Amino acid sequence: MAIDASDVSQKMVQAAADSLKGKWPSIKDFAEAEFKHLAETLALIVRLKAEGKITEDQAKLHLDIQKNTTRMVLLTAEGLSLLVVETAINAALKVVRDTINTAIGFALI
Amino acid sequence: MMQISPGSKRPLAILLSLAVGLALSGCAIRLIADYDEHVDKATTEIQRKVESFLIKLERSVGTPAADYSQHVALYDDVRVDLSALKVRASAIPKNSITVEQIDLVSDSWSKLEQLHKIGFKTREEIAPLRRNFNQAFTQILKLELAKKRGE
Repeated sequence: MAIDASDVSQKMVQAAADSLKGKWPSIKDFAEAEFKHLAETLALIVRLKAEGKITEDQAKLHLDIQKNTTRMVLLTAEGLSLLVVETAINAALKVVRDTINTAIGFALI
Repeated sequence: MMQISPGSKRPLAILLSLAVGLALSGCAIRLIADYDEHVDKATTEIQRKVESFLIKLERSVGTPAADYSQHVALYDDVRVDLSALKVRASAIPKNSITVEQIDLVSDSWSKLEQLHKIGFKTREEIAPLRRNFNQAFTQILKLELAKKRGE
């Protein structure tokens, strides 16, 4: 039975958004594109298996590779978020550097 | 007076450790590793090697040239490259995300080898594999380049 990649993608995006709640906006752009690819791969795997072109073991290996890639995309999002937080903290510390260093009597910041 | 709930102890501990780190370093904080040119270049080189291999494989599926036995050396070669990349990335402080990404692409490489040992019947199998490996290497590079922090 063929599956609708677009429908599968929308369902995965909605499930991920519900699961991640507050964190979803920060990874939305990354995740939506990657879930679309994941859905396309799933649809292809289903079709190739139905056509007898791949075995069950091959289907699982293809899915494992796709899952690794999806995880890598989300890890990049996590790393980029850390860089944003880092930039914000450093900007905040920079504006009070002189005041704090003068008050404490040495270069703390 | 500031109230500290039990649930807020962890963020407080993080802030205190940041303050201690600042006091010791006297410079801007770093939550993630600095950019490393070697990781950048090595990742680009491995991507080129893998993509070249998959393009040739895509073209030769169904012929003896696509047999796994013809490509064993390449699998070992890329595995060594990925191992060296991981060693380099692991030596850089606060680089756990990149190290994890290298582990994932290494696992994908092993699974590609398993698929190849079984054999490819159609070119259609190769297209998503190319996309996956290109996407995987892109993710390592995207984060590595972002570590330049606008320099």
